[in-house]
Amino acid sequence: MTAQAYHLQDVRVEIGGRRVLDIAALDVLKGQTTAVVGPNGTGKTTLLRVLAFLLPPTDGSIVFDGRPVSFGTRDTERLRQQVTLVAQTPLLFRRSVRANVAYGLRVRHLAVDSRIAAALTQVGLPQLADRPAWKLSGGEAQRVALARALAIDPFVYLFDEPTANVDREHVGIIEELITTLAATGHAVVLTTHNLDQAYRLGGSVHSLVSGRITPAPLVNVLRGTTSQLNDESYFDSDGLRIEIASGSSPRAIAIDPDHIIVSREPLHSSARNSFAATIVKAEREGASVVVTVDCGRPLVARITRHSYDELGLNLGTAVWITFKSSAVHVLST
Amino acid sequence: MSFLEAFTAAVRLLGAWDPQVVSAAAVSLRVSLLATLLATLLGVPVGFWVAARHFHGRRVVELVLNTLTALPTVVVGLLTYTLLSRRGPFGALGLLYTQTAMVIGETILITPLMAALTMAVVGGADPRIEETALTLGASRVGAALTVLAEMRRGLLAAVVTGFGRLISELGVALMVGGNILESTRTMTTAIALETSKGDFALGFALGLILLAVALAVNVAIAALNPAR
Repeated sequence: MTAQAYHLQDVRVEIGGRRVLDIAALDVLKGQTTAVVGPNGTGKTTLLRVLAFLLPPTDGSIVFDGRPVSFGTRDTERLRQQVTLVAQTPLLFRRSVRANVAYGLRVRHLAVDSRIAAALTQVGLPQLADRPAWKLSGGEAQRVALARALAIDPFVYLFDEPTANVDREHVGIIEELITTLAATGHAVVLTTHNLDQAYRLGGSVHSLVSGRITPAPLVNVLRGTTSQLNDESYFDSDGLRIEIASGSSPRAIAIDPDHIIVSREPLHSSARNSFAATIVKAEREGASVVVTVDCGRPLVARITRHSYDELGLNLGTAVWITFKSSAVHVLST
Repeated sequence: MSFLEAFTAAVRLLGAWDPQVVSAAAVSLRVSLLATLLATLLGVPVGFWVAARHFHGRRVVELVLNTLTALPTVVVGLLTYTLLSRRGPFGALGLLYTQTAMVIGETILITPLMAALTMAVVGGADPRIEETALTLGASRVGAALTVLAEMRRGLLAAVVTGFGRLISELGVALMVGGNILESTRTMTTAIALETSKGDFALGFALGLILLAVALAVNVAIAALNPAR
């Protein structure tokens, strides 16, 4: 047994001559949830279909549970049985709820009855077993699809936007199930366009933009604890105390690099957060410079090239960074 | 014989279970059911295969199948006749003018129809059916069978449509069956014969049965298509 469920290397998918997925490297570990965040149409579903062995990549290699995968052989049929994918808008077969949940067990020649009941109970729908699947509401159908996957108990679960079509009160049930699956040693991959959810559930969070895994929109992510003092909320992370919008108590935050002001002198302003720092890295990106400063931990700020030159900034320059509490995104509560 | 007299006589024949009426109805039903069964076994896999696979020349196969659904019955009759007649390739089997010959001809007639209807039904299936089956661990063959099972209403409607075409068919039955009393005489061939003889009562009686079968077929198709 290896700790990796998947290792993807240079995996590319082209559909109709268009490159829809281009993953340089991606590891999916057992016993944790890997969250993939990104806007719609960015390749999240394609990635899941590759991981589910439904779509052979045009190029690249995949190692699954320590063994290289060769697509299009009998082997993939066997591998597919170790993975299940719960689609964003799942399709239920035109049968009873029970027959739907039994499907994956039957194709594996496994005993069904007790596992069906257990799976339906896990999603909170034990009373619906005999209902025709086409008479369910959208949220119920989503949960039956989840039960159908739970009944099989494969070692990898892939969830495509698992809470997108579920009403608010049931989001908690599903998130709790996902957490439990990861805690019991399963590899879980989930896509979402909801950053909060990604950080709440994800042991590792990747962002997918135009088919590529990129760290770009997820910089300055800090994990820590919140405290209340004189009606103000503070977020403590690695010795940094950051004032955040009151009323929230996040476990992870992200600071927008475009809203961090870099100055040579301390600023007397309405902005609530100001720290002494040193420039440790500077990369020119078009008309702007991406500056990494060290203020006890690294933070990234994006300033214009013009400002960078006018302030006479350089590597090692001592600066102050300042940002408002409104530049702080609450990722996880 | 006036229309009204003929009609009354027809109802009387039906009520009395006239042996000629019963025999013709039985031959029609037996031959049509058997041929429908065979055509289903042959046509459904072909239609499924054409719909599910992306191969070179698929459009041509689709076009050919759709054209064959409009095969004139007399052309199929002619084809089957030449195959089974004494000088034909299967002449030695001595099948011409038997119910077996009729079943063969009728099967040839509607196999393309069954394939084309299956193609349409499977082609209209939600692609998520196959994908869902695969993600739940089904094999490729298992997933294909699941698609067929999910489309069972459409396929049953196709089978009923095929049967409906056969029960009311005249050309093949007449040409390769030969209209032999109590052997290969069907409802349609009997009507054609009795009408030419001037015995409208028997024709009407059989016509009423055919209408009843047509009604049953259409009720079945309507029940299988709840959308309408």
